Amino acid sequence: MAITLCEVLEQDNKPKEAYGGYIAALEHLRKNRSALTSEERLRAISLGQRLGEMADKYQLGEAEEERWLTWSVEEVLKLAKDIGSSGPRENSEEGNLVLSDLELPKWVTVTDIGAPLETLGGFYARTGRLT
Amino acid sequence: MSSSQSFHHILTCSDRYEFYSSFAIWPEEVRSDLRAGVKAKQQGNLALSRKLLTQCVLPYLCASAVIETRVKSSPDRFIAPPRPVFALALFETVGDGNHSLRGT
Repeated sequence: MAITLCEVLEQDNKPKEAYGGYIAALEHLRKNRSALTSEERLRAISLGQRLGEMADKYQLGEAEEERWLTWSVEEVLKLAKDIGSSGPRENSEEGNLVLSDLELPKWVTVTDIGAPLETLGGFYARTGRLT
Repeated sequence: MSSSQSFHHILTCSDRYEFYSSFAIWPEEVRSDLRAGVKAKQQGNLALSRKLLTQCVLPYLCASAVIETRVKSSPDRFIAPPRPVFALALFETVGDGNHSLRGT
């Protein structure tokens, strides 16, 4: 619901407010990390990616952008590790239902686990840090 | 009513049921405003959607934002508060001021 609100703010041409909202939403998810499903953790990663994109788009500085993108990569790696070491997939029907009902933007769902790595790699290439 | 109309009616009812049931995780007192806020967004009424969603969602995000603004100097924080001013901007520019972080 927080993402829906922030999307409204973005559409209403209030990017700063949306940015603040996304940060608050991510922080909320992070604080409850142990209770999150894999789906919700992916949503948090998507939020990190989105914040990185916005930091670039609104010229908030490379350090700001790097912080979000780095966190997303670290989190996706942790998630991959946790999924690999866990048992059968949990039932995510409820999460899917909420997502589809709210018509959240496509970026909310990370479909490619390599996407955060690719984005961070692109950031380093763009900023001239190739090593 | 034709069979296609009946089918459409059944689908519409099913969609409506799912739409409303997804709000069940929220406290009862805010559900109607949340539904109205999402509907307003879907109808392109951004001002109304923003107002309704803000007044419902904001109190739940406030606690996080308070932490964001209070522990700026903690070196081991997972995320340093990158732009607390933006978070504050959100809380100060939306709603009627009841949820503003100032004074919290």
